[in-house]
Amino acid sequence: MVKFNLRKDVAFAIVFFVGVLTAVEYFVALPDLRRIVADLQSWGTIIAAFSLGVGTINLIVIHGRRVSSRTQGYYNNFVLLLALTVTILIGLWGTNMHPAYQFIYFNALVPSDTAVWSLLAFYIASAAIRTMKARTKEGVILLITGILVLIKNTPAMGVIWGGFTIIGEWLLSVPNVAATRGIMIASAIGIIALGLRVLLRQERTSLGG
Amino acid sequence: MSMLSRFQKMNPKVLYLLVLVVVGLPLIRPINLPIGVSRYTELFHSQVESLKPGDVVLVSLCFASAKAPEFYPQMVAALQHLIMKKASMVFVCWLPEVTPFTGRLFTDLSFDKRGLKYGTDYVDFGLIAGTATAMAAFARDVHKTAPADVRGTLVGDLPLMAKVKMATDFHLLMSFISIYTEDFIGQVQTPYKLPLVTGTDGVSFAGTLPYLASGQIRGILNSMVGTAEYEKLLKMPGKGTSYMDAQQLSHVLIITLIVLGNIALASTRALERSRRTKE
Amino acid sequence: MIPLVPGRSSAMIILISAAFLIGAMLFLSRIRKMTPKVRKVAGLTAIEESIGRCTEMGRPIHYAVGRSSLTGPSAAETIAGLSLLGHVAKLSAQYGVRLIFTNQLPEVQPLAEDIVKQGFLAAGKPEIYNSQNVRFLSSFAMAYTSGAIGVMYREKIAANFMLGGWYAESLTLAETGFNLGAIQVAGTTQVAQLPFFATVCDYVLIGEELLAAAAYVSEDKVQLGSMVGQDFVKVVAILLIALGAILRTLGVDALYNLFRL
Repeated sequence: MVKFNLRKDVAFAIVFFVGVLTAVEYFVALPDLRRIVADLQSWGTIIAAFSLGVGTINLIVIHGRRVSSRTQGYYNNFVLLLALTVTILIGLWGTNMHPAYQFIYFNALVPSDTAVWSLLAFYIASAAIRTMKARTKEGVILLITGILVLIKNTPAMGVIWGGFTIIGEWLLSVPNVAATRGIMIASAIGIIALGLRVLLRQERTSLGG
Repeated sequence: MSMLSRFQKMNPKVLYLLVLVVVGLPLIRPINLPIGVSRYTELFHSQVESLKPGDVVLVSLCFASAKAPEFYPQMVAALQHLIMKKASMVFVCWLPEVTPFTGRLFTDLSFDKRGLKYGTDYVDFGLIAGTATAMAAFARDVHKTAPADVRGTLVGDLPLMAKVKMATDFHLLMSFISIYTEDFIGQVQTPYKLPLVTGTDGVSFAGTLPYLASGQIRGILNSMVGTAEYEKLLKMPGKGTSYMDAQQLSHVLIITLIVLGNIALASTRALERSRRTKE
Repeated sequence: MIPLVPGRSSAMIILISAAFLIGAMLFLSRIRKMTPKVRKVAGLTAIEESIGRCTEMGRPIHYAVGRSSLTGPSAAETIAGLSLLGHVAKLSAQYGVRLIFTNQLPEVQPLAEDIVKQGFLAAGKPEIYNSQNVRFLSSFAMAYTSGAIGVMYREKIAANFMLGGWYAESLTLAETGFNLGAIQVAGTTQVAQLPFFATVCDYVLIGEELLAAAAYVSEDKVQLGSMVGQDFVKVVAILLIALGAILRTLGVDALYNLFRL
């Protein structure tokens, strides 16, 4: 006798129905089908908006647990929860266009994010200098192409000799595009395979299976 | 220890200090190094230049707040051009963290002082959650997916939206996207075959070029370089131009150190070979 | 007669053909009519060696799966990363090495806790599982990066595994691992991040190798069958690209026009 698991089987039925319908609608020109898929997609955006809230609740639960059990460094978690609460309250009271919200966003969040991102400048420099050494044949190719593309992104060098720009653009437009396309095609095939496995209920990690 | 070996074993902190000086000094005291214009920026510029007054442009934002220094000057330059062309603009954000930038753009570019009327010349829908699903839904039926704008005004009460019901009603797609590029192209550009120009960050630029080669993207602004080039075309120097000295000098520093490092490596190897031959 | 959307017929044929090929291989391997074999990826041997190194040095492993959402098109990378996490968890329990997992996806947190616990159980050492070592840091990339850097420095990791969907934070974390002298194995399908990993990490699983490694360790017939199916589709794609390039060079547009239907 087939066991019926309400949660998993109903969830899978929804996934299958929506997935197949959306895929078919892309290729078939039927107005009624188009209307159904349009509704499904707008429901999808509503669910996605709710999932942002779920993410926030997850954050509160995880960090709240650490504060209540006084784990090592729990004061950091407390500061996070405090900042989260203040920002949410201001956002709810005055929307994200409110000066207080904009102040927090542009004077706390953005600078701290960009500060960490800017570490990349130092790390890229040290990684490039360390790695771009002519030790092997491949290393020589990497070295020469890397320098040429760096020069291409230095406009002043292009003004000194126009050939740098032509070579750099060729490297980006031909070998780079060829290699990137190969990876993109393989990735797209992988996405088809993943979608198929989900629709055929062969993907174990989806739907908690 | 010889100079060459010392160079090869250079403490990374010395390198970080050099980068800091080379990047920091030109920001304080600009040198005004020359800037050319690449083919990618020219394509972006000509696509926007071909707009007629009243044409509607969908401006999409989808980048992490950490990349604001790369994307914000791009958006300022591109929107300046759109204002010059008297194009109408519909703003949409696909990530929650990018929504405050639209308000700042309106303020920094003085939309109101320039006579642009909200609701008639530009509309801001804020965040539409769901990335690929949201993009597909928005392209299919704008009014259903975005029933109200970020100020709470119903879409039917916005005069601009009377002529925009779906993706094909936009004359140009302009996106500032660092992630979900393939989603936007796959869900909005390709199904409706719309002209798309995009601003990217430096990391994503190489990965966006296949779309330019296939004609799905009509022009690309390559991070800070693209912004500076665009400002040059518009004859409106801004943040992009002022940051280029720092970027160019840092590139020169890295190239110099790479070349010196390889000279040091080659010399060390030659010395070792001759030492072994003597033995 | 079913009306088709103009300009999408060739895409439909390609999708149906690819799905059929992949589905057929999947089905054949599921009913055990085919035993798919995938070569052992070099990075997998490196993972085992790295864990051995951590045992000798008495320092922990750091593992992270990046931030491709489980509901997005790049979910396959995160799923592959989680499969490999189970493998690493089992090995680390066997060798007696502490495993620290840092996470930036809320939906992955319960999955990761379960996977690590199951890995320790499979090694016969469920008692050493500590939920404090499976840490959700932040869903903001840069906030996660700062947190992960802090964890790596404070814990003085000896091995760093970054297997999944990586974006902006990849090089910063990889450089941190390098500065700590950790052995690093990384893998992603994100094209923009591969150069960073290639220059900094000791071993890189490029694109499909990450998915193949996950299929290899899981020994899941379905995943392996799916991989074989994908390889068949890739072979067909290569042949079509080569044929198309030759034909267009010779001025024959038939294939090109066929794909524009």
